Amino acid sequence: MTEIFGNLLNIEWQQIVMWCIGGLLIYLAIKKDMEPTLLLPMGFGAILVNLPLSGAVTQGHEEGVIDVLFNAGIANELFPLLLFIGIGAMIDFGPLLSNPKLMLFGAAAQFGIFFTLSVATLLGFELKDAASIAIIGAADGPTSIFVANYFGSNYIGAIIVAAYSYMALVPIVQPPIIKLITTRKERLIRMPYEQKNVSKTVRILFPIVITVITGIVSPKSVALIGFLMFGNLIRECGVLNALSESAQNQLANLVTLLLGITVSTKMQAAAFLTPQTLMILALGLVAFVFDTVGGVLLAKFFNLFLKSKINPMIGASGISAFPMSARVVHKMGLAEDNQNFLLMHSIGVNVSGQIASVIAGGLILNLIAR
Amino acid sequence: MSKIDNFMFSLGVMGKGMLGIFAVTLIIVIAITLLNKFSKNKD
Repeated sequence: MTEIFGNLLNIEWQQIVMWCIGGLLIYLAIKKDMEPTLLLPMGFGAILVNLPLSGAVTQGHEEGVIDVLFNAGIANELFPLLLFIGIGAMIDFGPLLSNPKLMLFGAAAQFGIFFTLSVATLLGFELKDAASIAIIGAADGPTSIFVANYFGSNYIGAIIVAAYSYMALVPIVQPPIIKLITTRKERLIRMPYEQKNVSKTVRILFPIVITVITGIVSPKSVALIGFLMFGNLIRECGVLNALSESAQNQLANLVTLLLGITVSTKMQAAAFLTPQTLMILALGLVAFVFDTVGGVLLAKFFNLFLKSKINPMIGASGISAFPMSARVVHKMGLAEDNQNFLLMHSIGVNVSGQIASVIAGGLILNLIAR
Repeated sequence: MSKIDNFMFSLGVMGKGMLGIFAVTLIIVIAITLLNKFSKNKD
């Protein structure tokens, strides 16, 4: 009987806590529809890797399959980059291309990343860990994974849980912040939308131009922005529809499937159940809050000089959480005035946030030595 | 590096990072605007 049930004696209370956390992630994914494609595999993975003497993770000389997957797909940054091809193929940059000025809000809404970096260093995190935590503010899972892994952060599990959780919580996190820093008069500003046609030439040149400009300024971001833009080029070129479909569906789904469960290797109790995890969750919230503040305040600043005012709420869509953030702003506009349709503007800002968050990630890699 | 050294360094990263991101973004905005204009003229 000892051979069969002896392993029961190896169970530690920390592992039981991790089973509960795994169960909570699965619950949130299924019942609350919170980023289910990532949180469900991560939740199950958290249970898998925290079973006593789990064969899924490396035990002594015996390699576990999840660690093998981690080394094959995350340690070398492959999975997040492959996922970026799929994401690039999914995004229609049309609303941004028809009004490129919107991109400035995407830039402003990365403020939370840099603000959180400073707060994290004040709390005692080493620079490489602080940078990895700060990038939660990119509101972009693959970028968070890429940067945290690049710096070899020990907190990658907590960082990814925080990044995906807050992305799912955007409809709860952003509205009170937006309301706090805008007046009702500002929220009532209407922004008429003029449909502008974007030529196919511009759509095709856009991913190439972005890659070249960003790559020259921030060479370490070439892989990130390059794969994102490669996906978009496949979408827009018009001659690779089958590849575009595959990137958007099969490739993105397959990588996501493996990514979630593979990341869970960093959710082993000993590394995850630390006071730092709670601090990382709090810092993630700080990053999202100050991203929102950055975008809104830039719009308010522009309004000091513009005749035709901008509804400052659209600045909040500059975070990369797509399309949740754009929808939040659109709904808030409608709640104030049921004839105020901000969706096309907020979508334009939201897709610009996708690019800006990758640029911010690249700049962090450039400015902080590994 | 001490906590204060790290903090001071991070403030520098914040300044350079925000400046960098606005500079890159501005270049992209100008590039897209020119692309749109060129493309319309061509049409």
